[in-house]
Amino acid sequence: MNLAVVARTQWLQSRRAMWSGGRPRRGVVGIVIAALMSAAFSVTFIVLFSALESTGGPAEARARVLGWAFTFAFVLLALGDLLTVVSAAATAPDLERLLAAPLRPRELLLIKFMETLSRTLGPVVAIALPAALCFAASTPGVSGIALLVALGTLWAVPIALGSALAMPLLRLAPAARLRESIAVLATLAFLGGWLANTFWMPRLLVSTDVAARLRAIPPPPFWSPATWAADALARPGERGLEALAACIAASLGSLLLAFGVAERLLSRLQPGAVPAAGTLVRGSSRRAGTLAGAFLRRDVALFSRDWPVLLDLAARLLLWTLLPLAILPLTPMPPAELVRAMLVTLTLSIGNDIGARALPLERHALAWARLSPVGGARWVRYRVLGVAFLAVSILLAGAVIAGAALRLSPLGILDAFAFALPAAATALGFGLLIGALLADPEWRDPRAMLGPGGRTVSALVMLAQGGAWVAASHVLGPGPVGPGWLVTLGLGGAFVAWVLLVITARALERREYTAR
Amino acid sequence: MTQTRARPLVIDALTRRFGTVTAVSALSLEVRAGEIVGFLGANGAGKTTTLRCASGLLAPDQGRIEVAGADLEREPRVAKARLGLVPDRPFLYDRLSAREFLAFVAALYDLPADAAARRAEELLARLELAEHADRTLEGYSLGMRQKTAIAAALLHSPPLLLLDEPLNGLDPPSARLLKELLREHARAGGGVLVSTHLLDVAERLCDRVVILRAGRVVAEGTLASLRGDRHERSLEDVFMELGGSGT
Repeated sequence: MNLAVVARTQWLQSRRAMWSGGRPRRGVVGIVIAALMSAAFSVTFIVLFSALESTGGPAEARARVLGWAFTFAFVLLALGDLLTVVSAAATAPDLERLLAAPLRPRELLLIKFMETLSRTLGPVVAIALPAALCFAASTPGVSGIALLVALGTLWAVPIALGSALAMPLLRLAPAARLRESIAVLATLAFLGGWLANTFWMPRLLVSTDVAARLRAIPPPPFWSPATWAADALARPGERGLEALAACIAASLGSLLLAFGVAERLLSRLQPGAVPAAGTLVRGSSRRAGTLAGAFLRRDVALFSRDWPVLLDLAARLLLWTLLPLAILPLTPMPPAELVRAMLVTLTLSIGNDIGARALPLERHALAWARLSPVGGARWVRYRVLGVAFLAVSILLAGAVIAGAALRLSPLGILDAFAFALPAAATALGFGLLIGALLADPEWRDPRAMLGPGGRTVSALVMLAQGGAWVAASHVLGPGPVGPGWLVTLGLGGAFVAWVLLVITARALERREYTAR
Repeated sequence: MTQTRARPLVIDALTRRFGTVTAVSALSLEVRAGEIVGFLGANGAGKTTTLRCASGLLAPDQGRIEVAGADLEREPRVAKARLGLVPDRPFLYDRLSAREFLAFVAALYDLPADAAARRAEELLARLELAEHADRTLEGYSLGMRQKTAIAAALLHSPPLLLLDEPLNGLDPPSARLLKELLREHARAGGGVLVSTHLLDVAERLCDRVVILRAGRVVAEGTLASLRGDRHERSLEDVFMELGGSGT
C-alpha cells in the first residue's frame, strides 16, 4: 500500500468536505461546533482550575478534576468510536471495494482510521484538549511530551478497542441493529453526563466554598487509561513517569490488539449489505381507510418501531423539562413560574426533537409528498395531526406531573398548560419548517436527522423562541397568567404556527428530489 | 385501469438545468396508449432527470408535460393521480411491512379500501412477495424492494407508467415477470416509458425507443425505422452510433 497516496487522498477528501469551489462546505459546521464546544469547556475548566488555584487547592484535587474531565471524554470517545467503526463498516460504500483490493487487513484498518480521524478526534479537541491546556496553564512544569502522549492515549485506546470489539460484534449481529444499540448506549451516556453536569455545576457555582467541594470529588477509577493520562500530566516525578509508561503501553497494546483482530476477522467481515432480518408485523393487513387514518397509522408505526429514535426522544424530553430545575439554585422561582418555565423548555424539545424530526424521519419516502396527488399542503396538514397529538399529550403529561410535584392547584396546572400550548404550537411550526428545509434523508444516527447545520439552526431557533416565552412568563409574574393573557398568547401562537405551516407546505411542494 | 382518450405522456420542449449544467434541453417526446417506449442513453444523458420531471419530482425550467390529458403544472393532482413511477431507488418506509406500505400508498391515491386491498394482494402474489408481506421492508433484499416499488406504482392502475432502470436487482424470473406486467399494462391501454441500459431488453420489450444524448433526443422510432435499410444492425449498433459515446 502506498501510504502517502492514501493519506493524501483522505486529506483531499477532508479538505473538500470543508472547502471547495471557493466556498465553505458542510464539513465546516462540524469544525465550528467543535470549536464552540471547546470554548464552552475551556470556560468551565478555567473556572474550576482558577477556583482551586485561588484557594490554594492541592495538586491532588487538580489531578482529580483533570482525571474526571479525561474520563468524560474517554467514555464519549469509547461509545462514539464504536459507533463510528460500526457505521464505517455498515454503511461505507467503499468497504466492499477495499475488501476486494489487494490490501492486507491491517492496511485496510489503517485506511479506516485515517478516514474517520475527523470524527474520532472531536471529543479530544472539544473536551480533553481544553482540560489539558487549562490544567497546564494553572500548573507549572507540565511536560509537552506528557501532554501529547496523554491526548494520543485518549484518541488511540478508544478507537483501537472500539475496532477490536466491533469486528467480532459485526459477525454476530447485523450492522444496522448493532448501530442502533450503540446509539442508544451513547444516548444513555449522554443523559447521565448531562444530568450529573447540569445538577452539579450550578450547585457548585453557588457554593460558598467551591474549593472544598472540588477537593471532595472522589478519585477517577485507577484502572482507566483516562486516569493514567491525567496522572501523566498531573503527577510529579516517578508516579508521572509510571503513568506515562502506562499510557504508552495501553495505546500500543490496544492498537496491536485492533490490528491483530483485523488480521483475523476483517477479511471475513460482511460489508453493510447484510440487512436486518425485518420484523414480523402483527395486524399488518389492516386497511388504512381515510387519508388521515393512513397518516396516523403510518406515524404510529414509524415512531413505535424505531426504538432508538423513541428512546432518544424520551431522554431529550426529560432533559429539557428538568433544565429549569438545574438553574434553580442560581435563579429561584415561585412554583407557578417554575412549572411554566419547565413546560416552555419542554416545548423546545417538542419543536427540536419531534417537529424538526417529523419529516426527516420519512427519509427518501418523503418524495411521495411530491410524487403522489396529495400535495405538500395536505401532507404537512396530516403530518401535523400525528405530531400535534403526540406533542399535546406529552405537554399535558408534563404539566400534570410537574404541577403535582410542585403542588399547584388543578386550575394552576391548567393555567400553566394553556400558557405552554402556544409555545408548543410555534415550536412545532419552526421545527417542521426546519425539518422540511434541512432534512438529511441519509441519516443514520437518530440525533442527526438534520445535518450539522440544520441541528445548529434548530437549536438556535428553539433557544431564541424558548427564551422569548420564558421572558414572557417572567414578565407576567409569579402567579397564574389569567384568561385574558392566555387568549391573547393563544391567538398569537396559533397565528405564528399557521404562517410557519403554510411556509413549510410551500417548502415541501418545492422540495425537489435530486438524490442519486 | 383509468381510461382516458388522451395520450399517456406528452413532453414538449422540456429543459431542465442544475446550476450551469443543462441536463435536459428542449426535449420532446410522447408515449401513446398501448405502447412501451424504451428510453436509452449513456450515463448522464438526462434520462433520470426527464423521468423525474415527468413524474413531478423535479420542476422543469421550460417546457410542458401532459399526463393522460392533464397538464402537470396546472393540474398537478390530476396528472399525478394518472401516473405511477418506479424510481431508480425505491421510496419506501423501512419500518412498514409491504402490506402496510401498499395500504398507505392506496390512501395517497384515494383508492377505495376494499378494492385497494384486493389489488395489493393480487400484486403481492404476482410479484411473489405475499409470503414476506408482513415483514418490515428494512429486511428486504434489493430485488424485493424493487418489486415492492413496482407494486406501489401499479396499485392504482395508472394510464402512464414511468420506470427508471426497473430491472436493477431483479433476478431473471422477476425480470421476466416485470416484462410480462409491462406488456399486460400496455395491452390494457396504458403507456409505459422505461429507461434501461439493457439494450437487448429494450430490443425485445419496447415498441419504440427514444435515444438521448447530452439531454437531447438524437433518435426516435421503432427498431426497424432506426435500422433503416441496414437490417443486420442490432439496437446496440444503432445506440453506439447515436448515443452510446457519452453525454
